[in-house]
Amino acid sequence: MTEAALRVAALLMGVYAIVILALFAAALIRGLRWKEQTRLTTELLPQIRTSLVDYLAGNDDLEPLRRFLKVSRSDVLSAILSFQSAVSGSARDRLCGLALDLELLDEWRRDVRSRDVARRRAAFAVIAFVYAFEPCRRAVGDLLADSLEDRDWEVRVCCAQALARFGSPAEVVAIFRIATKENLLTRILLAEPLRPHALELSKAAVPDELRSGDAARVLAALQIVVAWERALPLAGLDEWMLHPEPEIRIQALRAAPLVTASRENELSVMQSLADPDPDVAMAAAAVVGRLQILAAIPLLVQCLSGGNSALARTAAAALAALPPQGWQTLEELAAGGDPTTVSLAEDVLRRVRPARSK
Amino acid sequence: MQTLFQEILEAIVAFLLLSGVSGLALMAKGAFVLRQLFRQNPREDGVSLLKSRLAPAVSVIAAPLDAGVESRARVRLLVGLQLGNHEVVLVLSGPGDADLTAWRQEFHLEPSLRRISGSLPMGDVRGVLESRDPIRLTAIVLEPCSRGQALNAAVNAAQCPVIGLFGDGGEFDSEALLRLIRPMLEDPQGTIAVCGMAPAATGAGLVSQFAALDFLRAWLSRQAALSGWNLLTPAPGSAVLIGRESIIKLGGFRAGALDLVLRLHADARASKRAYRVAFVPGSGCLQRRPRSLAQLRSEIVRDGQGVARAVFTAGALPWWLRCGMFSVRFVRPLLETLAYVMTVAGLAAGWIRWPLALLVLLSTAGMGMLVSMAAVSLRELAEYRGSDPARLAQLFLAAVPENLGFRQLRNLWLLALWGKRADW
Repeated sequence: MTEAALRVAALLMGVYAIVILALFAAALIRGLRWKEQTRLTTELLPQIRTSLVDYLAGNDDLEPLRRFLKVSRSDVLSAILSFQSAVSGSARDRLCGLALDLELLDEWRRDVRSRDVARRRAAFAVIAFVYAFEPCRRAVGDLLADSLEDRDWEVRVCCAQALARFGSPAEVVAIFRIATKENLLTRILLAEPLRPHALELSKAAVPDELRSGDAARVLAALQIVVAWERALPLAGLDEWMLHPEPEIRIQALRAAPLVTASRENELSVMQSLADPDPDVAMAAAAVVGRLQILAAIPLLVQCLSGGNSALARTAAAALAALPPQGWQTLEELAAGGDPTTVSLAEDVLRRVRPARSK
Repeated sequence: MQTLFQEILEAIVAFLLLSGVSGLALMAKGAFVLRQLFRQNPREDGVSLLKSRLAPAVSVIAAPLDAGVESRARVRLLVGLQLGNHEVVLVLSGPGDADLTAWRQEFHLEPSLRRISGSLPMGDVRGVLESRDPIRLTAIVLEPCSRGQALNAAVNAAQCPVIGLFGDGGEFDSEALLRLIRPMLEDPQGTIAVCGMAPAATGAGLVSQFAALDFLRAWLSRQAALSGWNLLTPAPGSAVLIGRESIIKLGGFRAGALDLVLRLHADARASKRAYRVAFVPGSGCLQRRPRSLAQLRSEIVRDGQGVARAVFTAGALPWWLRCGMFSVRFVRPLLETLAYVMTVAGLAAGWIRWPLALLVLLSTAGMGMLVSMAAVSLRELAEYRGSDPARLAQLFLAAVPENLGFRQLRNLWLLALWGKRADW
């Protein structure tokens, strides 16, 4: 019985050992390849970058770059990508033009159909970069727009970012709509390339989303407006400051300093100071300071003594941002009364006093 | 008597073999989960997240035990973390005058009039200090109290909606928060906590290699594989992000991050809502390697006691997992040690023959070597980039001495202080 069990166990473990050794051998071979690739990259990358700089400086000789392409295509690709945030204008066009001159674009277009995820993503990343150059845009065609529904989130975001930066006005609006429907991370990543189009979008696309009736889309549109941090001609924001959803009220309040000032907005901000949700009231208190709404000082005093410590701190900070009336109020509060309010007022005053003496 | 002795030993061997095979299967699952996670999140969107006003603010809380150079350097690293909006809340529980002076000098702390209040039970506040430097650092000085109460004071003082906790046994780079916050942005409602941890580079010594193998096995099975079933709990030294509201709803910390995450699991499971405790293996948080055998011993014992906490926290994890954890961390070391003693005694008394003794060796040391070697290979293949082949081979071969001496010692360590419940 024991001998038989020993044989079975030894056999089973032998099989496991063979599988594990095979896995280890694969890992070892990959490690060796990776080491060799790293060595090659360390050696080649500075040379490729020098050649690229020469080319961007006006040297039309493409022979060195063609040579590098034969040795390591991936290094040439990463060198091109490493320049994307460093060049603009005609230099960027020249860099993008390399994709056509070195006949790389066709190869990348083949790579986007690869089953290797890393290869696909790399191909999409460079295509998205060269999309900045009009001749490349024509050559790429609808590839990026067609890939907006790709199964890979990474590819979708990459394509959407490129279209938001360099696409047609209709494509920009489409990307804005996608941004309002996707998760917060995608929205953050798309808000930045959409920022240059904020003014155009705020004329129709943003109001359309705000009037969609879907709370999630309204919230998303307001979040994008907040993320842009640009002055926008958006009217009727007061309506959203009084929305039943607290999160929408908060975002609308955060957007208030970015839109055209109006009496309605100021009234809604003041009304929000008495909101039952302390987070909304805090957002309102923060806005009062930025919009310099002096009429809100009595309401800020109420927030200060309301019992919620976080709201009281924000209200005190808002009063400090409203000199000289706000400071006078703080001095009065510091003179006596509830000890918590006194210490808060003193604390804030101590911070603003040096600025005041200057 | 002889037959019974033999049958008991055979049953132990069968259990040990079965346990080893389950360990291998669990690590294979972990490797698949890791590969999926590495595939999902290769982008470096740090700059966009850093600039965006939409990323939630994070209050990083810390309750260092002393004011030593290492503790102060660690808090400086916390202050230097990159995120658009983050603060550090430092809690000093009953510090002596010398310790307080050291903290004051290091961060130019000055008394603040700010008062700390909140719904969570905390220690008595002796004073609040704020830094004069242009950094968001608040230090709360408490009368001596438990770690749970100290952490609760930090949560009460925190001004951000997300609380971050970086475990003492870990190292982290400055972009860790930017990577950890991603799951919360992908699913702000469903993600109740995020844990980040990965193995650090292996040192040259045998102790370092043994520690690396021990951590690799736990990382692949308890971290990666369990995250695949949404049953993740933080490992020692992990970085953890949790919503402030969730902490308040649970009544705050009682011990540390492990206990809190376990109670979060229990609460979410009881309410039957969809939730996720996300795992970010590439967060830039690495487990610190023990430098000596004594350090390794304390790490292993602490980890075992953490498992005890997980096993005995009601409702946090499913019964089958708790049974599995109990058997891996207590029953297996016990039975293995028993098997060695019985084999030696049995051979001496002539009650068992060599084949059974060999089977015992195969099911303990042999299986242990296979599991450790599998951990090295699977982790390597789970990642998208390769490692240095020499180091890899070194670690792979370290599985042999690990299981011929160190494993037996480790079993005794695990049995010695098992009943206590540690936290981190």
